[in-house]
Amino acid sequence: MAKDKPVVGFYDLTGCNGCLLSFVFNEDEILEMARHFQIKSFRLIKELKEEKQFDIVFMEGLVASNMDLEMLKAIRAKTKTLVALGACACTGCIPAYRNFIDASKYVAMVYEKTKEMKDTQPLPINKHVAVDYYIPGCPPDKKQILDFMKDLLLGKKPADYDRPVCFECRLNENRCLLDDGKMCLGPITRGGCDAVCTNGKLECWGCRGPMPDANLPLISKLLEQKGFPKEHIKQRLRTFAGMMMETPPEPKPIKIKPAKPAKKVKLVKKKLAKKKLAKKVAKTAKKTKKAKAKPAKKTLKKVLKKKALKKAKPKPAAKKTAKKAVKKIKKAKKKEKTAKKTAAKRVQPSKPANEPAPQKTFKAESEPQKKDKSFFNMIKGRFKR
Amino acid sequence: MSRTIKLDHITKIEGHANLNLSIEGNQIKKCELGSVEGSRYFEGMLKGRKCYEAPEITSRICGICSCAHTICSIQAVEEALGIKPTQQTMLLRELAMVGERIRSHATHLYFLALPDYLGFESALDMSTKYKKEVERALRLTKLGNEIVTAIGGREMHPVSMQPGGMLKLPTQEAVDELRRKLQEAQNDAIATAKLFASIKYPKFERETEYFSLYDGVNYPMLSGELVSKANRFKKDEYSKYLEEYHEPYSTANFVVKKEKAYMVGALARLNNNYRFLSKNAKKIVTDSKVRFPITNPFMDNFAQGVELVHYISRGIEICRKLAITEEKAIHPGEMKFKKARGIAIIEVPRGILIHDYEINEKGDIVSANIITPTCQNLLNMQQDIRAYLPSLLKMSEQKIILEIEKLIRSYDPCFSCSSHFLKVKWNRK
Ligand code: SF4
Ligand code: SF4
Ligand code: SF4
Repeated sequence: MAKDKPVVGFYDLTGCNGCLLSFVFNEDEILEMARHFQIKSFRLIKELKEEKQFDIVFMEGLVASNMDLEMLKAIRAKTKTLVALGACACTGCIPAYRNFIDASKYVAMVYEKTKEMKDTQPLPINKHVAVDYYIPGCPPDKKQILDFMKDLLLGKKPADYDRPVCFECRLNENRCLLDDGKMCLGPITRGGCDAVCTNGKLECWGCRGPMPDANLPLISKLLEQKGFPKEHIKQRLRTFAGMMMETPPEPKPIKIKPAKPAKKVKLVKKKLAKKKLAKKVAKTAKKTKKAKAKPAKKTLKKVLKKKALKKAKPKPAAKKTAKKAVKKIKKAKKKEKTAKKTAAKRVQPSKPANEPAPQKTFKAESEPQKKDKSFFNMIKGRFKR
Repeated sequence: MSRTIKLDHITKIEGHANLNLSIEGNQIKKCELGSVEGSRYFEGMLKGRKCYEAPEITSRICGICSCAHTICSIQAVEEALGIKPTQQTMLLRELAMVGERIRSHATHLYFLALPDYLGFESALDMSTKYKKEVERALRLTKLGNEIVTAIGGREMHPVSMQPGGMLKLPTQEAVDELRRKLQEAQNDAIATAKLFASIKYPKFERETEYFSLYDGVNYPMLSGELVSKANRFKKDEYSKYLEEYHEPYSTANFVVKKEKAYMVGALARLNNNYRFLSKNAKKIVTDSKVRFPITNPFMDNFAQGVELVHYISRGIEICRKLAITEEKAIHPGEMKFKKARGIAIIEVPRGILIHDYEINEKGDIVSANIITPTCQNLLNMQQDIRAYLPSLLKMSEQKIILEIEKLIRSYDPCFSCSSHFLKVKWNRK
């Protein structure tokens, strides 16, 4: 019996775990829901089990590092239905806003990392793999996740969100925040959240992404007329769903600092290491009577030596890292191209007979992005069908 | 014999982290615990944004602590702009924090920590044999969510809080309803605290410096000075004492205090502020016959149980004090900007959270610094593992991993915040 239940996985890439929590916060229904599925992987609350095949995977988060990308690809390869859960996975959310800011704003925070953890351009998951369904929102409404799961169980086509936030906001009889001088993005934003923000008197920030027919030039004109500076409007539009509206400038290579930059900290580290080791040595000596003091001291010296060696390296490496970074970025670009190709080529996953076709709206873009640099033309091109 | 233990994507913690151990005989040669969550560079993205936008943006640092980030961010902005919120607003913020604390502690204790001690893989699997416990956990989580929703507008990433005050006030009826529910939940909290007091924690003691806020009157939440047994300093001086450094194996930075590791969180709060606990929370402590300071990091679970009881009492107290009166939040258009720096330090479920912004006369953020609790605990966790490991070496690999995971989980680390947790790879050399 149990074998017939769909095998489900909940995974997270880079994100805040809010989307997964949103599902967990269905306190009254979660145990019942868990009985209808074989929840095989849910790192947040379970041990990870490597499944050969998943029927459904809910993927939270966006791709921001090599590790994310590898994980995403590996899971896509063994998953029939991949669901992008939440704004990070659907639109890139706030972390993808970084694509639109000048690197000088964060370059000081970029440190040397191991290869697998290296940063990549922060991108929603459909830029790397094919996505079957999207549950937008930051976070997605918890009931919405349940409804989606129920629909999948019943073999129904999950509900489509095709009304703007304004529609729901008006139904709730809220006073319009635009009249209060707030920069509300409700008119162009996909609803389905019951206008939860404007109910709480916060203007809509557009977390669920723009409507397919969103008239972006019009909204920005309107907001400009209301007295908001152009730059500020642009920033807002880009905050949650910038990636759905325009192509960000190509990322420039940045100089990466070695992991331990400050002199002070180096000192700290050394002392720390000594103290730590000394303590540890003392402890081990006490606990394991067999362990003699001499070899322990040796290791202490060795370790310190090694540390010293490591520290000596970074300086000449700095130039190299810069060069490497340029190379890597070139490579990454190539990879991205091939990834796009493979994503397009990817054999459509075999679907159970009763499974609905993917939604037409809010669909993954498989066509390559146009390189138009003007801010609003891009959106127009993308959303007018 | 030498061996390497690699734990990739440690499970049942918030966010992703790996652990890399290398053991030679009885010597631990390498112990690297680090976050592998992709870097999101929030501080960089804040630059050039309006200061009143910061709470909405920084809330996305962490789902489970989104109220905490929102409120800390709000207070940093208020500090910079010289805005003094009303007492009602402060109480509502504290109540939201109480709600978030209840759900965070309940989730951690029952879903992340308890399965380890009962020998289950997850709380979902416990639901047949330990139905009562799981249902209790869900009730507490629900209560926490209801509080946060009543004040913030939704379970996560609250919408109704802004620098200067509340955008929307809860009704008095809603507050009274919350008080009733909190009162009902008291038994659940006490049962939880007793459960976690009865658990046999591994015998392991290692004293470290315990840092928490302290104001000498209340169990700390939204204000106070930074205090440990040996140190005490004002929040604005934090950068003089706390330093950050990076390691290539971690996307979260390490925060140390004057060259030394320290611990923050429920245990540290309890060690420093035991006297300010509510009566019934104190009773749990005296009944379980523990002595302060507690130096066993596994007892962080116990401390969270005690806090659960305390925060429910505190929640009831706040609801009693609240008589909702109409007030208006400051419209961003009416804010007066000036060149200034604002630092806010608050107690969040996992310890001390710092938001530090510099803004210019147009109200744009020029620079930002955010220090999360897990970054502060990271080095201390590493040192604990180093100290705890020698006593485990005779055990099987599986058991060692379980014990280490237990240790890490007892810190309730959150790696989304600090910049993902434990899958183990064994490599015998
Ligand atoms: S979409 Fe929002 S709630 Fe979900 S992971 Fe991203 S930031 Fe968190
Ligand atoms: S407040 Fe926003 S969502 Fe509501 S009607 Fe006005 S513009 Fe639309
Ligand atoms: S109102 Fe706007 S910002 Fe708020 S949840 Fe809905 S779409 Fe997202």
